[in-house]
Amino acid sequence: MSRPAPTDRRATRGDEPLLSVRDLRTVFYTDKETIHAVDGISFDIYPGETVGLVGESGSGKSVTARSILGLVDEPGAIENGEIRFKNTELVKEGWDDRRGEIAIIFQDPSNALNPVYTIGNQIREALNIHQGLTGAAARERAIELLEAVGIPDAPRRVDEYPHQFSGGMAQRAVIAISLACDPDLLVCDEPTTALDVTIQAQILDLLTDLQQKEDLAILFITHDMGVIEETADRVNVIYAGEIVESAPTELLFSDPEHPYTTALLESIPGRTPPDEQLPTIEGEVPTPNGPSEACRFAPRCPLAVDECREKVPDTVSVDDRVEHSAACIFAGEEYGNRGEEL
Amino acid sequence: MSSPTQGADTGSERGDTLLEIRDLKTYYTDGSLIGGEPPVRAVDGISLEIARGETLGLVGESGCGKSTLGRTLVGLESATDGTIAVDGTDITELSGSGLREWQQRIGMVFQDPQESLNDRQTIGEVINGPLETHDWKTPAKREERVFTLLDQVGLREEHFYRYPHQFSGGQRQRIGIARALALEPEFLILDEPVSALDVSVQARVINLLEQLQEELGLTYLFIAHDLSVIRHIADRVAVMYLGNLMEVGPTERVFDSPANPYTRSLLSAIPGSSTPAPDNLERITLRGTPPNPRHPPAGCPFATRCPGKIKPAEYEGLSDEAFDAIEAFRDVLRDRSRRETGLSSQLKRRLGIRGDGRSVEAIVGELFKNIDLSPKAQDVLDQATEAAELDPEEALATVNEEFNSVCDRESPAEHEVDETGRRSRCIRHRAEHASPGDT
Repeated sequence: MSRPAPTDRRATRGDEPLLSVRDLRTVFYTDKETIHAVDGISFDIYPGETVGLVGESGSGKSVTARSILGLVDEPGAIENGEIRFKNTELVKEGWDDRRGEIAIIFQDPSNALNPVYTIGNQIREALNIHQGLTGAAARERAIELLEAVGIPDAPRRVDEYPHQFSGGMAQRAVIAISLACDPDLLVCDEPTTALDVTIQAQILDLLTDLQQKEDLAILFITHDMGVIEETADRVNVIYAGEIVESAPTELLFSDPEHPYTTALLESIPGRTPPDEQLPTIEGEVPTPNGPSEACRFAPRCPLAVDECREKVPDTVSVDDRVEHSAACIFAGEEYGNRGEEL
Repeated sequence: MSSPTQGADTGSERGDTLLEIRDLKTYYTDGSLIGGEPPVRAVDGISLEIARGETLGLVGESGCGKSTLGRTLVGLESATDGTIAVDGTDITELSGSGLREWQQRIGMVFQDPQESLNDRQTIGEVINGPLETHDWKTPAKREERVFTLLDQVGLREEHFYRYPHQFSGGQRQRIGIARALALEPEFLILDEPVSALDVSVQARVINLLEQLQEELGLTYLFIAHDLSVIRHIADRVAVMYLGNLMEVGPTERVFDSPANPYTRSLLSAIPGSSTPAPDNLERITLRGTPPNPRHPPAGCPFATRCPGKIKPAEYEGLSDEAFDAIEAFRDVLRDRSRRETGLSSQLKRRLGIRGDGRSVEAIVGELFKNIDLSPKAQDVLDQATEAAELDPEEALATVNEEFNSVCDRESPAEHEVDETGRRSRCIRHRAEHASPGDT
């Protein structure tokens, strides 16, 4: 088996990870059932790196984001696992000492902004809490931040209210607020999903730009494979609360190992000639309402054999050099061989 | 090869025409009799034909008027001007039973399957709804019809008695499709039917729609902002911007060699390697956002953001950077004059109070850093900068007058750009200018 050895930024960086998530389990207790929304996931983010988390709705990607920020509310709770950020283990030691060092931006900017305060007020509030800036200095910095996120005529717009901002401009303002905390890690939860494609391109450009200038690490969460391909250095694919594959972006797209990743890539309309039917995945993403006892993708998997339905597949390393791994009993084998086994 | 056509859709080999839209305008007014704002020009003069049995993809960004166009075709919005001819009848003139008859021939599928279904009705009742409203045949026949429809969209008999909340997003969209098909329409208007669905579910709904079209000989107007989906499903595609049709033609042609600068920008913005855009198309990141449809530009609707805007005749030698900076400055001025209509800013202006914070001078300094202008251009810029703080409108007028492009003045006619009858609206299609692809 010969594989290209793509240059992985990690191999050359040699840093400690900025964020290290290990065996994270976030559970929601309802009257009817217990939902294992995030069920034992592990991944790292290094300084200055963009790590993608991609999955369908209900896969647990947003719960992962909220867990990292310490924003999981009743009836949910982090039940197990570690979230190590710099030298703090957040689950045990709490988030208070690290507030502001991790910032989050959500899908819908209009929900993230308070309609009764001006944009400037909201940035100044963050500057006051996290950097102790007040008065004219805070105002000046707020204008600088708006300029940094590409809002034209910032000195004027700083005094405007959220309803006076278009969707793309509002998302820029939200990014400006999150930058006011001077974070090291920015968690982006579907930041461009509510935006038009030309505006999405502007925001993605902006994030790349900021990352380079501020050496930000970004956790980029989305369902859009095209967006993840363009933004992330490495990608984790999440399915029903579990990470099923992790690889450098280019490799994930060229040589997916997990049948779910393969199926997900195939169902993008752009990959199929227009006169052919789109390949589909039968069934729906299951709700993980019990502990994992088998491969959760097995009921929908075209390759599944008895073993898949009987035990939880190990996460196997496909290529150590680039940290490519997949949770599938067939991982690491060429597709041709799989056919023979069936 | 580019000759202007007067909006005629010629040279196609498609089936016969189902409907013919001519100069259609749908404006929204805010209802006040005097002193109200100008109307929102959601659809602002569109001419288009839809052939029987085809899928016409309608794409554009939010607010471009694509949903309004769809709603006007069904009679959910009334047209302000223009005609929609179906078998010789202008349906914009219809009302009462004539309109209901037309509406029976159309089904509509909406984006959000969570919101478009009544949670208190069983699936059977939901699908039966239109049948009952139009008093279709007998109750027994209606029930039979509902079971047939469930089967057609890939649902099972027992689903008849269940409630919408018991279904997943993809299944709910199937229910929506079944309801739209209830009265055996010939024409479906699908308004972002798969946008709210996950990609794996989306693929199945798209396959279902294609299969139904083949079985039932349906005509589709498929409205979507996702260009990959359109590339896959549509026979022809129409690209809208700010209430106008910028380009329309066979899907393959439009995607492989987009003729209009807006189509090119839109296609180039799609991220990822599965993009339907041609390989040689470089990413164009557009400046700003579409203009307010209450105040569309006087010339080309896309002129305020167009990467291929034609330089004014006397400034042909101006560098691209300088021209971009001037356009960005106009954006700022436009923005200011639009927003400074409030009482307090008018008062400030009367009293001659200058705005606080950094002045327009600083913005100009930033925009025109490292840019040399001719003495005349510099003079105009200085004048405008001076005026901008107190009267942005005047400053804008000054800049507009000096840097007046043909794109600012003239609304582009439709040009036929290839032998398939593809049409594009851009002044660059005129013989004297470089075509949009060469800029």
